Amino acid sequence: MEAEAVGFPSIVRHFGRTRAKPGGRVPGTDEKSTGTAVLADVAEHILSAAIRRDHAAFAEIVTHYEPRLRTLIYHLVLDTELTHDVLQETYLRAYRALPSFRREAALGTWLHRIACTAALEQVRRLGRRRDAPAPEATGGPAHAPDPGGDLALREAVAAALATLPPEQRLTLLLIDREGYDYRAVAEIMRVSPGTVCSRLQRARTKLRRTLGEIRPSATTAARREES
Amino acid sequence: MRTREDGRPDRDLGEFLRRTVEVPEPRDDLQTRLQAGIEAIDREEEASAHRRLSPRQWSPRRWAATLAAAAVVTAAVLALVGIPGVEQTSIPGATAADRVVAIIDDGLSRVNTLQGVYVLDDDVKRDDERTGIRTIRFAATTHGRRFYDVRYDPDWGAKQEDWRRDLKNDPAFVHDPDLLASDAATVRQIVVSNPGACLLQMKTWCVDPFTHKTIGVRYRFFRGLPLTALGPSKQVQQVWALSNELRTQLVERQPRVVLKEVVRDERSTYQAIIIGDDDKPAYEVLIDKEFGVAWQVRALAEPSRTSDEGPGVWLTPYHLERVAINKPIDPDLFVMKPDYRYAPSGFGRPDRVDTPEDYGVDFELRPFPVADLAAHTSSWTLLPTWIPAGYRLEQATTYPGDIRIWLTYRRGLNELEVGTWGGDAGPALERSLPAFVFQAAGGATFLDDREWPDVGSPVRPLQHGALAGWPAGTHLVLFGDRGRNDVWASLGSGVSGTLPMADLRKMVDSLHPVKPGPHVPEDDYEWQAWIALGAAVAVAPGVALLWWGRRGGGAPPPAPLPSLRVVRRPLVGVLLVVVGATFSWHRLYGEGNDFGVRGWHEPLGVAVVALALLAGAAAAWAPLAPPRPPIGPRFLTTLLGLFTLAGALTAIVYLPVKARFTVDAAAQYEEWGRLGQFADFLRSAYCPAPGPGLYLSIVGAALIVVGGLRMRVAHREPAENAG
Repeated sequence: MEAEAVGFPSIVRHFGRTRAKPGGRVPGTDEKSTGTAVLADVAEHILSAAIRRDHAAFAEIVTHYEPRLRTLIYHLVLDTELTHDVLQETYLRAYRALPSFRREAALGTWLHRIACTAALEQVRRLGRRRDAPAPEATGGPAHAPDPGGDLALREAVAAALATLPPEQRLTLLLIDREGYDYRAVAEIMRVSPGTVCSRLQRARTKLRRTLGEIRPSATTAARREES
Repeated sequence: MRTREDGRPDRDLGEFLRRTVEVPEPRDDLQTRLQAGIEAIDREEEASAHRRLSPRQWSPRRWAATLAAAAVVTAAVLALVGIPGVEQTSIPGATAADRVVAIIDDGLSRVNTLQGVYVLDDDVKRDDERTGIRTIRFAATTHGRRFYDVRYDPDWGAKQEDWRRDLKNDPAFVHDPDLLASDAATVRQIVVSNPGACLLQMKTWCVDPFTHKTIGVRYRFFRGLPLTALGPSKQVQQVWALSNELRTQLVERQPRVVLKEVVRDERSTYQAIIIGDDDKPAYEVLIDKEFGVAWQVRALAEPSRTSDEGPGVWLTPYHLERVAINKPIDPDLFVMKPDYRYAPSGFGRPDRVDTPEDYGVDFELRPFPVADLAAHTSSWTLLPTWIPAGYRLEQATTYPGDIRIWLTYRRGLNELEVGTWGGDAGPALERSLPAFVFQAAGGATFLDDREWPDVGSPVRPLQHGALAGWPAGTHLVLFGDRGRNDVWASLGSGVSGTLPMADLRKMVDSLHPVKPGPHVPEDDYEWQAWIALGAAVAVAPGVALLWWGRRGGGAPPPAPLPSLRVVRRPLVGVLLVVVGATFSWHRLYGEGNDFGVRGWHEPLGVAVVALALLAGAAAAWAPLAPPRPPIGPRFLTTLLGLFTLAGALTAIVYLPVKARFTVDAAAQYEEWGRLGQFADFLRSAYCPAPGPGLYLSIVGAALIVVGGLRMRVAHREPAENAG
């Protein structure tokens, strides 16, 4: 039943309705993940200390933003090892540039931008080598045993996400999965809110179409689980 | 609102994605890896901060290359500016002559007044001796009325006799010994021909300024054929052999017609001097396209003469400077006024003796160095505290046995003479001695009726200065070909020179007693030589240390200077200050004509010496310098800029004409004996005025300040909480 509830058929139906209900937790954020609250910053004194090259303060910043940045990066690169590398590169870039941080944007937004830029650079650098990769094929997150039998479904969703352009994928996952406000995403990606909405709609449409094409294998896996 | 709706999260989809899309777990060693990277960044930044002041950045070769590149660019720009652009070429000769005539006629029809300075590049001469450059300040109005004020090269005077002999043999010249004796006839010169001709041919009628009777006709400075007198083409071809080359080119950013001419005068009266093809004098004439003014006449081939005594036609090569067209002419610019009347013979003698010998004065002036001025004065002397801009005290003379001292101020070829007392003697003379001196030597003196209702004594008293209350007379003295104004007080002190009368009177008003001696400027510049020697001594070990540091294989010495990139703004500012100061210097001392560096005492020389000293000191200091100097380059640069800016701005306030120093007559007497201040004497010796160079220096100083404030010579503190 659960598979039916969250499985592919319900998703297809869901795309027909697409009306949000409360629920869902964004990693590293509170439950009310609306607006820029999802980018809640560290305390001012911590930021000032980090700008003065205080290593301890910078470690606090790392801890504070690590889940969100890791998620963002993974949604873009779809590779576990690469995610870790890009995350490290993001923090090093931020450390190097902190003295010139002019506080024109929130620290969280600034870090997300750095992460986004670093991840997109990696994606473009490896783009030709990895042609629409599946997360599993390139070292996706280690899966736990599949008691629910939704492994096939996960693979199908991952494959479908991989077919999306990075910007659309990131927009979809940040807003729908992580609960970011579209204005916050616009700030992070340095595009207009209208562009964010447009990307979001295109991503949803593409995802629905792609999931529809791979429906047989996905439904077979689901039925096997049911039986 | 559609955007807000479309951008809203889809909770169901979000829930589905959270269940089906997994995010990798955090890496355990992230902090460890970051710590290593962060420490590497810290080390890199610290090294970078040191590198900004490191010897690798301070590369003499790089600086030299930059300076050389700047010099090349400057030379290229100057060359490009100096090269005129050719617009038009090759017009047939006869047509060209017509066009030239048309251009001149049309252009001059728009000229009401013309002022400027002729610079004669050569002169009619014998035995191929150059007679030096002369300048002629001139002003011309419509209807051919012209005024001239001539400045001769001092060396030229000795050759005047030869020149006069030439005139005597010129059939076009109405020779009159009285004219050559320089009486009033030379004052007013009226050009007969079309105004367009005068700049090529100064054919003048000499008119008595009082009777307006023509005394004679002269070809004075430019003898030749006026372009506008060329007439129709046929006549042109008879007189001028045009080179078929008429071009329009840019000269000093103005379009000028260039006409290359070969003078070939076929008229019989001139055949004796202008000879065959091989010896044809050729001239290039530049005519202003807009106003028709002949800007320059340049000899392309030297004229040769068949006979020393023969008549001839030639052009005198010259060019014009500081030309002003259609600007009002200062009525006081030239000397002769309608109110003047001829002074009777013997005017100016104190006891109405008839000859200088009777007066008992040896008129053989005895020059002595300005540095010896103190030896010729007992306690004090009268000196002007106001002098016109740019004049400099250059000479002091005296008569044997006389108590007066004559101070000669010069600005270019302009000259002022200040006659003053040299000792404690009281009022000695009652009338105008200089006028008498000139008159006795063959000059003519003219008096202003308003001041001299009676020839016996002037009626206008001086208002200011040490001589306030004493009557002073103004004269116009014509001596030789020169006219000079003369303001002389009854006490025997006064000023004579080629300035407007108002300026001379202002100088006399500013006379007040000053103790000379220790305030006398030095003629020699020994201290500059010592500085140059010191600079060389300082530079030598510094350069050697730098060379040793760079070549010896060891660690190079700490750098005394930051990189070029860091100091680029202050460097440009210093350059502007030096250029501005040099321009001001030449403008004030040389009246803008002479831009040759004359010695190490000039701003450019001082800057070079200072740079050498700085480089030497910095290089010598480098090995001993701590890693972080207590006073940084940024602070020093900003301080230098502020100091320079303050000095330049002070000069702006201090130097305007209205701010020049004058002595109140009453206060003068109260302060008698205490006014011999150094600054006063400097004002008597040299009075500068603000000019473009000073403003350029201000811009440079401001740039130094801005550049200093923006210098990023970083000495980063180590991380406060490393680890």
